[in-house]
Amino acid sequence: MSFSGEETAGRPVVSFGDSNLTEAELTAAARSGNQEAFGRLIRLHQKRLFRFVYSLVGDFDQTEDIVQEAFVRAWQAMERFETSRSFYPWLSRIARNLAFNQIKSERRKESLQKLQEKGFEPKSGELGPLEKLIDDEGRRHFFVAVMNLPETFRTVFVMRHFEGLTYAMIAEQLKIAAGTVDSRLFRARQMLLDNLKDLL
Amino acid sequence: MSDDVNKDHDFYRERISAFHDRELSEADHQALRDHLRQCSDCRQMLANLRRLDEIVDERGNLDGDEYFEESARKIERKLGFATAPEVVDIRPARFTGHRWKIAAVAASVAVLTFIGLQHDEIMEGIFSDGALSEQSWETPRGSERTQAGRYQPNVVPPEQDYSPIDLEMDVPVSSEPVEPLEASDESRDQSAPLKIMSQDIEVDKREKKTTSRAEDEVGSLAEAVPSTPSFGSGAPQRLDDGGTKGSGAPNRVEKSGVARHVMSKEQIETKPVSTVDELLSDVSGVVTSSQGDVFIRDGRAGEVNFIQATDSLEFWRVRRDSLSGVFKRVSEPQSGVANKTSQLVQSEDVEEQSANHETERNLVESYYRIAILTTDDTERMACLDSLREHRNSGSATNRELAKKYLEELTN
Repeated sequence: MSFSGEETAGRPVVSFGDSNLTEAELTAAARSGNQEAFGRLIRLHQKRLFRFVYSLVGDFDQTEDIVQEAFVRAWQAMERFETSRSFYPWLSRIARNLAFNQIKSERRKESLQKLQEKGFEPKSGELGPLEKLIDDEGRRHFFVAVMNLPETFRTVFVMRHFEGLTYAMIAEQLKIAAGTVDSRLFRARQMLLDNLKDLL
Repeated sequence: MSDDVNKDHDFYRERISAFHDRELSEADHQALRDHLRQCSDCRQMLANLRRLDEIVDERGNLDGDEYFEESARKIERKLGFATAPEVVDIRPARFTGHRWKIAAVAASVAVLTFIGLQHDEIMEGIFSDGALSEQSWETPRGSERTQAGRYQPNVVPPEQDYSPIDLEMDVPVSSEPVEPLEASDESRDQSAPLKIMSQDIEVDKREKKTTSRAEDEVGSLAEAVPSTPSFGSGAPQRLDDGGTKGSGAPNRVEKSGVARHVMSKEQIETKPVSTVDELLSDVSGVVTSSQGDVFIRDGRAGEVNFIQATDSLEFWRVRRDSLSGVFKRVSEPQSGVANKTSQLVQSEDVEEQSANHETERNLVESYYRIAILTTDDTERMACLDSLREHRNSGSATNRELAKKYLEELTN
């Protein structure tokens, strides 16, 4: 990556133009405080991150907040980021922790919520606001099937399929045994195959 | 399928998923390979898992490029990144540049010259042909009655500014989403009068929304807040309720865009004060009437300063600060909206609960109003964060209200 221009307030000015920089180059520039580089990283990864977080928390508004917060925290911690590593797994981990905290908080609130709102009903299989981010009927069908999975199965499924984590990594994150990851993933896949028979 | 195969089938079938992910030990992996050679069911299962991977690749992505671009900008704003103010150019291409300005000025001069030269004939033609009878028309504003009993419109003086900027708000505005409240005054291009800063349009739109929300959704809030706060005009307005009416005109002093009135103690004491208002008076020295008037005690004997809601942003800030003080006090020593809500719910006093919920509701309303009115991005983001906190952890009804406001502010 070539740095051009002058120093502004101690931060190097980088002119990207239409150049195709690698992610490593972008993260290096962002690490040195370049806002444009970080803006590109946001655009590069936010869709994937949104899909992941939404699949975990199942709430559009909370997903928006968590994704925003994850990028804010990533920017604040950018100086500590090791550029030899990939950016997305690091970002995803931040978002995952935020999402899990949110889920825990929701669970703590649940009993209180039930007291407050008689007739509490679980979420239906409809996508709600997520629909506006899915143009294609086939994709909608797929996401409805995923979101219909029980939360414990869905979590393992998206960590494996959307994030590419190994069983050991999922087990560590969720604080469960690797064998439990295996069985939950197997059940999740079975349910999805049943719901997506027409696509097989 | 042989008996041996049957015996182990369920065992192996449950491990096909791990086999597919290459998560089995070498020995187990080999054993399952051997089983697959003999078991068509498991082979089919493995084929389905591979197909599922393809489906995830094919259908597991989101669209919504516009949404995500806007979302990226929001994040950048939150991070305080430098972003250029969005300027919406509403002119058709042919009306750009100096030609349009020259043509507009020339046309104005020509019209005014013509009116000046032909003034007598024009007036005679209008008022003597019987088309307009004296009895059928009302006195035009800014007109004078002539000696002959006719109303003669004032001729606009030639030096009056007819710059094209006067036409701005008559032109249909694009419904494209615009950057809210980003541009600073310094960044405006004064040399391009037909360019409308998007934030101006946004504020105008929001004002309309706000009014209808206050009327349609918040309902009773209309009793607790001024119905239509003035938006940035800076011009003091009189309230129409009994607060400022009555015995004598209040002694008004303008300071920092806020019109202050001095009222007698008796006047204040006759005003109805709600439970929430009493709470307010305890903690902040601020008293609001159920009509939404705000009083601030200034310590002078027998008098208080009365802040009229002429500067609505200032009003809502005062209200927010006062209410957040009350809300905080209610929840101490705990902190966080969730705990506050918890405490509210645990309270056995129904009346107190109701008042506390009303306090929270008014607080949520304050955050919403400030987010609309402020041009300070940091303040706006802080209000959005507060609304999110109430949406996530507020009381049941106020969560919904905060959610609606957030949707309106962020869409």
